[in-house]
Amino acid sequence: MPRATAIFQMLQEVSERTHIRHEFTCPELSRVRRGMRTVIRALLEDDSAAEETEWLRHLLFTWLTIPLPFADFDSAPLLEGLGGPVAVGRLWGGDVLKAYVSALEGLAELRTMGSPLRTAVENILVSTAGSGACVRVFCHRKARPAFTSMYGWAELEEVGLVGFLHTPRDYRIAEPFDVLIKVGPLRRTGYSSLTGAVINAPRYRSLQQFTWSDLPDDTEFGRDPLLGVLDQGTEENPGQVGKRAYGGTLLWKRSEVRSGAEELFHTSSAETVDELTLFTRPAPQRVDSRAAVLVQIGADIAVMYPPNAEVIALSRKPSGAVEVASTIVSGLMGGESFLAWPDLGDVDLGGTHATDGAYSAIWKNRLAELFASRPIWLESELRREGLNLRRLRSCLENWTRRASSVIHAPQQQRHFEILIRVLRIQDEPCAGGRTSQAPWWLRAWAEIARSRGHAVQVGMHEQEIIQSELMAILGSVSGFLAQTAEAGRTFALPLSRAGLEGHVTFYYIDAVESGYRVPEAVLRTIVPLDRAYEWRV
Amino acid sequence: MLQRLELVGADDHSVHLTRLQHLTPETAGRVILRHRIRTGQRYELIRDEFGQVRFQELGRKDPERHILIDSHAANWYFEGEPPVEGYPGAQLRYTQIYRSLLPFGQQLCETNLRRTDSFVALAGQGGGRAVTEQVLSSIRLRVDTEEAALSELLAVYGWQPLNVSRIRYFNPRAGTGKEFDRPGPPPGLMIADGPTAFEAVYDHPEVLNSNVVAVVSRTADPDQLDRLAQRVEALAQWYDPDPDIATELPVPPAGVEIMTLRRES
Repeated sequence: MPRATAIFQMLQEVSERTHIRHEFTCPELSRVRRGMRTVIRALLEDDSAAEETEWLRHLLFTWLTIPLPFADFDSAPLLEGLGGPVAVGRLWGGDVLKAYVSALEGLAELRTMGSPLRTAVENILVSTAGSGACVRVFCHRKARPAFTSMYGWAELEEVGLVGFLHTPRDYRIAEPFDVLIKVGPLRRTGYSSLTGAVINAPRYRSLQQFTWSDLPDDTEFGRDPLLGVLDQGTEENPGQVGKRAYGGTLLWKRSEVRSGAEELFHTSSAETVDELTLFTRPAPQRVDSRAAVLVQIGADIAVMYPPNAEVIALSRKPSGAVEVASTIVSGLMGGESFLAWPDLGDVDLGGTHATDGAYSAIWKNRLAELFASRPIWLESELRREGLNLRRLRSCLENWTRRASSVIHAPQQQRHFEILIRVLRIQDEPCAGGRTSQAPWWLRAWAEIARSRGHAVQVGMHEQEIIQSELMAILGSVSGFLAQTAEAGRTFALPLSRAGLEGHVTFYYIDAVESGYRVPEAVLRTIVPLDRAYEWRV
Repeated sequence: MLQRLELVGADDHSVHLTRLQHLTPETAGRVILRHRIRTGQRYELIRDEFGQVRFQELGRKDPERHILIDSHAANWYFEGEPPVEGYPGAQLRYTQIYRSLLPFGQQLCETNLRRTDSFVALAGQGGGRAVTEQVLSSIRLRVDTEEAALSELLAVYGWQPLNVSRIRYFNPRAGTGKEFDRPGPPPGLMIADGPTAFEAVYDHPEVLNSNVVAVVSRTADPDQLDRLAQRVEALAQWYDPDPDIATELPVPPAGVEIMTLRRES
């Protein structure tokens, strides 16, 4: 933690802080952005393209907030994910095809050019840090390579003149420095978010912000969170952050530097909503969301946990020994621990079983018959109808199984409907089935949903038993785990003890970050890192 | 706290006497006291057949009994609490530093440094009492040859050797009814160190009529700040900005802003 004296001294010495907003316009990039917007908009309305939409959304977010060289703007996801121009035209029509082709052409042009934004960041970095000033970059972890690959970064980092800040906590414990670099708009939440404290509690002299055109900052970014609510209803200019009638007001000198030629038919930002806003998932309501800690367990994936959640982790103790222990997630450290992620399949603890219900008995019988007699036809029919799961055959095998803790069935309602359609079940009479006007498949789906709800309740008790069983097993092989962990890479441990079969993956923890607010349903699930960044607060 | 050090009689003497006069073993349970000079002895507060307070020595076959004399009430103090008046003749510490902190022209009332006062209370951060002491002890002040940690200067019970206390400590993590480190009347002034402390103080029944100073860092956890902002927004219905108090305060250093609110009459 920095000493208060050092912070106050710095605040006293600098009478006026500067905030320079460098805004870049690039017609070729604008063309790509326009194309991508049209494509993503169309895809958002198509449920079957959810995965591709996520992919493109995050690709666009990355391009707009990370100073990548244009040569690294990868068009492969556009080409591969959507299946090429013919498929795009067939699925989404002529307008989308036009936008798609335009985006691809724009990308091809961009890849032959240098990024003016990246060049500017590089120049500022070299000139300021090179002259002895201490520079910190606020970005998310995934953006680090875009900076570390810049000219001179390694040398400047070695002498401590450049470094990263990723979270509000990082900023809180940072020693005062000279220049803060931020790429992208100043936003309170979402992919480009950063803590408002960088404006209302500066620990530096100058903010150098670099952003593409048409990405405005939040109007009240950096407004004091507490005094802000008391000021509501006054005529105070919200743009003058920190300007108050009484207090040790901090003065900011703001300026904007625009570079690049605008397009001939440029649409001003006042008329449009930028992509970071347009394609951001709506922030969860406070009542439906919880504060969370992000545990990054790979280059692109993370798990979100409540801050006080207990997890099984493999960590190095101060004594140097590596131990498996139940640990509070906030206390874990990136770069020295492993997160145990059990994948145990169906654990049979002799508890409550779902019986094959009235509907599931019928569709499971039909499925078993077809799977035994015409497996290839069944698989291809399902895929043609849209049930295009990667491991469809093993899923089919699983769905034919009799009920254990739940009725084994597709996870998504849409997939279940396809399955019943392919099985040609329309209105099969069933003993004990309810009389209803609802389609047969929907009544059968309700049965599955009921069995799953029951399983969740039973599961809470079972989870405790599994946890303690698992701890005992892992404790018995702690020597092996410690030895394997030495390599500092994710590894898996197969389990074959009666009642607990499957494997435990020990994910190497890259980072643990606080400062997130996520929907309840997302907690304790593996999510793409890009998606997690949208929940930054 | 500094203002209280200037004021003659800014101590717990009268409150202490009232407490002794009104305590009964029936309502308060077994009450153990100590004497500030005979420090090794323990006494039990009892009532004689006329209802008068008596201090009966413990651990002796033929125990001595003492009566409560109002002017000597400060000699008795409750076990586990700071003495109302320190050991006579004990050397005062840090007088130079306290003097230098007082506004120009103000006099330090040295007697106050020998006496416990419960007017001001400090609600520590969520980390707990020991963590708060550790943090405050890392801030050190020096005047000429005298040097002290802020934790000692604040004189919370147990944080400095003299053993009297000038500030009550409020632990936001302690169970309901156990937050204060000693019983006493509602504090006149409550200092809340951080959002967690303010949240704990906000609804506490003993603090409803106290003045509250909340000190909040803008770099605190954003979630805590959001919650606090909601609380403050709710408070704004019953409070108005108070420019009078604001003008009486010194201009804060760069980066610190002060908002003063007064409850609507």
